[in-house]
Amino acid sequence: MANKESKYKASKYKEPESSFVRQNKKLTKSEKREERKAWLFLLPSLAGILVFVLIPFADVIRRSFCEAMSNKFVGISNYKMVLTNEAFGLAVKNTVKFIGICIPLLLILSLILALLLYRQKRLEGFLKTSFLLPMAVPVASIVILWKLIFHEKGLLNVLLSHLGIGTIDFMNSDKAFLVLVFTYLWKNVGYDMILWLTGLNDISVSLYEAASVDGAGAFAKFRYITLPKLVPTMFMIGALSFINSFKVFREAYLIAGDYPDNSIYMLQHIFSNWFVSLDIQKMSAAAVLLILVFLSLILSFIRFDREEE
Amino acid sequence: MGRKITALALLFVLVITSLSGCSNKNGQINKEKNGKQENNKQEEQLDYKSKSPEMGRFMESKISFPDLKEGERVVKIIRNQENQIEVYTYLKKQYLMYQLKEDKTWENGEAAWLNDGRLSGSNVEFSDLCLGEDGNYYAVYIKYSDKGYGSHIIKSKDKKAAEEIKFPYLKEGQTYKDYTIYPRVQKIAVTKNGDLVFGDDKDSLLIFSKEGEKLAKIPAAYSEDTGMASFAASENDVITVTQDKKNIIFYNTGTKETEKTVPYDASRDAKAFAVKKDGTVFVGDRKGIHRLAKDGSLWETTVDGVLNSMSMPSLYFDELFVSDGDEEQYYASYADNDGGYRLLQYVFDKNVSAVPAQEITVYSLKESNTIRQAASLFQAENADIRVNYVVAMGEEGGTVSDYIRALNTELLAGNGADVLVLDGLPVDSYVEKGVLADITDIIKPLEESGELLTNISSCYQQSGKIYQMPTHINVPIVVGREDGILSMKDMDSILSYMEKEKKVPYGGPTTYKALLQDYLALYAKDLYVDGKPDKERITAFLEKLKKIADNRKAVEYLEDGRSEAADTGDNFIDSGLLLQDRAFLGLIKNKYSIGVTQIGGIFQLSVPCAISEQTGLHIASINQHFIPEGLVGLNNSGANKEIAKEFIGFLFTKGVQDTKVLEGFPVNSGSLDKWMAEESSDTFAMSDGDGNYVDGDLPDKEEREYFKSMIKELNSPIEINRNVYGIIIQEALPYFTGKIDAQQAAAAVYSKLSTYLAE
Repeated sequence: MANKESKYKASKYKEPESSFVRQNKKLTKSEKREERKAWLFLLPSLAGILVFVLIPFADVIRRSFCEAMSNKFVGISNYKMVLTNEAFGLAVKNTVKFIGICIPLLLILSLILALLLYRQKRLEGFLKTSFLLPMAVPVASIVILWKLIFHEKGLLNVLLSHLGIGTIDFMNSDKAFLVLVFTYLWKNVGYDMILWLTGLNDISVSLYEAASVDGAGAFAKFRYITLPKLVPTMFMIGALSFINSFKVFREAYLIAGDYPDNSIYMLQHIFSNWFVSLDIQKMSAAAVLLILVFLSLILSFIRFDREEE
Repeated sequence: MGRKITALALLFVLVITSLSGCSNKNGQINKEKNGKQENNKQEEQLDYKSKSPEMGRFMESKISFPDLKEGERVVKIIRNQENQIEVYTYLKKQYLMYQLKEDKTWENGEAAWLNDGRLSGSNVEFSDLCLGEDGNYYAVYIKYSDKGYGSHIIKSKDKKAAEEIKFPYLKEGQTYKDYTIYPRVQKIAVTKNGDLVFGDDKDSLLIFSKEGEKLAKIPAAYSEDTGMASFAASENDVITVTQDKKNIIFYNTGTKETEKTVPYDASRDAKAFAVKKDGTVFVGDRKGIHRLAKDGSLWETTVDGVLNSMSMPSLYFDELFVSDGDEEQYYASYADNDGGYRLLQYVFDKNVSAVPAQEITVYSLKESNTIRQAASLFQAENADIRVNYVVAMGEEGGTVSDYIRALNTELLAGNGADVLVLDGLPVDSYVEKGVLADITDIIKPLEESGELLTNISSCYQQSGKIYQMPTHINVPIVVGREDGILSMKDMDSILSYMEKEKKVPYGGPTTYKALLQDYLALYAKDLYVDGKPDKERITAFLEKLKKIADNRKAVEYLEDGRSEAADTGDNFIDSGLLLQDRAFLGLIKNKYSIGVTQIGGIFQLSVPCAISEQTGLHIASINQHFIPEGLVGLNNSGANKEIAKEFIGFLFTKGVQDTKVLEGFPVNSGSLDKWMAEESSDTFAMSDGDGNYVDGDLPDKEEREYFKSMIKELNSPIEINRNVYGIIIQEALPYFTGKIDAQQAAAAVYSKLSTYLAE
């Protein structure tokens, strides 16, 4: 078993090594032409990113050191203001809590579903579509549905009162957090499941056959073949889930408005409210701080990924 | 090679199309975000203007009526067969007629047919008058008696004698006990073949033959302004707007068929129609005068209504007359809110630029009649300036904060409107960030000349500067016994009063939400210590309010299914919905200790005054509070600051403030004096579902003077923070419905309020 694993690892390392050699090699004429072509095709999106992302963000950095409207330089006072802002603290806490709970839960749940669906040929198509359906439902419809279900006088509370349990104001109590976690999981689990399935399908069946010959059980195969082979997929799914976790604000905002229950008061809420009150200087400083955090997180991910490889 | 060229071409297209989104035409704000297609059209016009400064525009001028005697009032303006304008007036049971001559002077005309006694009794109300396409004159009047009322139509061939036309339809009455109501005809038109068209049914027209036989019923669009459908007769055609307000139809009474349907955006109310001899059709509405060539399908707007009186909310089109010569000119008669008439002429002036060279933009979240009125007047006085009034929310509704974000984007980009109507906007934040400019130099001179009510303007002084000023104010008043009125000074006094007066509830039944809104408006400061929310104070506030709610038998929802105004309001929190006791009339039978209502005009004062007269109760303001309406501010980075300043100053002039636009009392002292001096013989009657009834005359001079002095003592504006209100109401309601206790509610309010304030 151990031999097979090391054999597999050895073959995997070959690829980066060869690409490294290629980079140092002097490029041929046709390769140079290809590279130029690649840059040419990259140019429109690069220009778009430059115009719509990088240059505006440079302006955001500038604004983070200035007064809101007069553009008077104020040093790091905006950063101090943001870091001592209680509302910002609450939003950071809630966002971290949400991501900390949701992403592991989503990864595990979607992986379980993917494993259950893997090699399930009979209803595969139907089940995949069913799990992906929440992604196709427009946010407005979800919001109406959620209001019907989770409203103080909604369907869930009718059910609870029939069962003799008191009603719960889901959206105006700390239960709102659970509703939001549920929304996020419900919406994203199908998508992540598909991604896991892609990863699972990439694993060679012969590895499992060889393991079976060696007498490995289902858990051993999962522990020593499936999981290690899914590590690159996990990083990709993790990153996508992280990005998607910020999109759940739409639902939170449309269900509970600008000032929801404190348990679901997220970073997007404070940003949105700052924009309404024209606190652009605070928004800019907070955005720069967040980018620094995200950047360090992404860099850690990349580093961790490389170390893993 | 070919593939390379194709790839490069595609690349070029990609780059160009992706960068084209960055363009900003003429530095104008992207008005599409405001959801106003109208503004886009204006933007296009502006582009057009910058490219080609075309000359020539229809200019508006007022035609003065003949010197009318005291008490003489205009009842109708028509055009006769000689294309002369005829003005019909009524004075002391006598109808008079004046004809407009070519030199714009007036001469007396024949109106004997109206003076045979039929139309001049005190129980007769003049309805309409027209010159039929058949060449006869027709008049409609309504006759009242103790046993009911009904419409009558008279016809005259020579303007000397008239005969009544008997119609079976006019005898189809409905009797309630001893009172019979016959059809009420408000407007009449007559086709060439003598068929009569009535606009008595709200959303349809009735066509009768001259013998009285009912020929057809045409569905037509109902106009909110006039309370009936707009229509006109041309030859044998009846012209009107379809019910979906998307088309104009031509119904031929001869063939009994709709012969022509022309697409037309008739969303704006009160239309007048005219047809030239060559078959060209004209429609006049708030957007302007529009022209459709014979057999054409494309409307041409010849007169832009935005630039003149047509867009004034206080006026609506009554008749449109078009001259038949090659050089078209128009006469338009308008009815105004006060029941008067106005005659205006539109003549093409080739020396004026086709579109005004300068423009200022005025922004408001919701439609403001004052701004609309002032914009028309301002443009009439300044032909070279266009006032582009942008109403962000329009009739589309939506989330207020989304509209504010769109506005903030423009402000940040330096493209915001020149004048901001601050109702519903984050004013404090705008002042703090320097968005608003100091308007002291506009307000101070008006204060010093005594034009402005200084008790109001002084409320808006902030460290020696003025950033905002309301155009109108509404006054919350309390009616009750003297000690009841005094109890409104704070919530503790209310509780003491309730303790003392246990037999009678403090106020009428209401909903918790309305109660919270009202008491927050009056006593919100009780929640804070040094500007910060205090949990104990919030608890105390809620507990006190619960006692008041219990005393007033407040409920979550009213049993009769009628929703309290506050419950139906969106998150804009319309100040007009505040402090309005719906059980106000209960004071007559001493059912409640006090009644609170909001007054924005003399007519609204009638009920409190009548109750006061009937019961001996007193009327007073509530802690000298007033509710500001139409707060205006100047954008510090506006492109046309000087014109914008001029416009803001103009908003407070007597010319604008004299007009009643149903947005409250004027802040111009001269206008307030004028309002208060107006005598009226009108009467009113009002009843409610609980069997309370009150009637009487409009407030007398003494009452009006008392109220005027009350207005001049107001010194405390009610400021509505929709976020604070929203948070408190949402978190406190479960306490009132018994789901949580006061401490829990206060903790929830405190938590959210602190988050909001910490932002």
